[in-house]
Amino acid sequence: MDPISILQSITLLGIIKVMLIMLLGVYAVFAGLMMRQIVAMTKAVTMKDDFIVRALGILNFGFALLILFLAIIIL
Amino acid sequence: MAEIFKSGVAKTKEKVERKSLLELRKVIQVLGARHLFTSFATFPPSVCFETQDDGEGVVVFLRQHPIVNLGWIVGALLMLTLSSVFGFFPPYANLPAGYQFVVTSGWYLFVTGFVLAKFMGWFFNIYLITDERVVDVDFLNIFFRRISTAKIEEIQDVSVTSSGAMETFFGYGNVFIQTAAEVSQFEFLAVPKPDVVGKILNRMIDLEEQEQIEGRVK
Repeated sequence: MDPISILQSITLLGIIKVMLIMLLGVYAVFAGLMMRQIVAMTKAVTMKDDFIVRALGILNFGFALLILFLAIIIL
Repeated sequence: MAEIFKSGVAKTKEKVERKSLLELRKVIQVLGARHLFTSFATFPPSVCFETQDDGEGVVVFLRQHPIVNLGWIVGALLMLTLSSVFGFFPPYANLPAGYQFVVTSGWYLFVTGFVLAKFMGWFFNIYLITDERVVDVDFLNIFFRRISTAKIEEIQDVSVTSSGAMETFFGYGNVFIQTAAEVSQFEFLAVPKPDVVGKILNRMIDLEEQEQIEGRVK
């Protein structure tokens, strides 16, 4: 394929799709870092029932991955 | 023989340390809630930190008053309602259903991340007063955390401020602790019952001085 035909095949929806997947990917990395930081902090200061906070971090990371995979499948 | 001798020393040390905690229990009342999200508690059960010494006990556990979270909670609620007006914007309305689903889900995910980051900033910003030292756990953002400590005997001055309508109404304020340690000032910001915290610290400084006069070593 020559460069002109590649450029002609780029659509607005295609750009939106790539941008959305990239944003969700960046967010998944951010959620992963947040989860790691929560684990580190709960190790630094241990409290009763702090597994609840760790679970929140894991859930957020899980949802971030889920939405990322859904976006890859749906779009 | 050597092992028996060692364990004997350890037990004696533990007894001495517990004695200082027992003395503090006599002069400081058990106050505050005991749940995970408490912002003020004396002698909290099952709270320990990374650099805690054997036998060292947490006397006061502090976080910022929960009311300081009001701003971001209102912000998050507004952000959640914002998704219902997405449909009025032509670029969003013209997107296929799949794209709309991903954009809306992504928005909710972003709000969740914002809430979690703000919550962590409050939850992990902890101030501890143990029978030996003052500990300030700073959690500024997800990439930065700092734990500063100063021994009780290094405390030079404790000052308490409570100003403003909100602080007066909800009973919170700031406690500033001047120390001779590497970190010269500890700032316990927006903590509940600042007067009680100041009193406890002054009482602990007195007890520490008394221990030093009597020649008791921790």
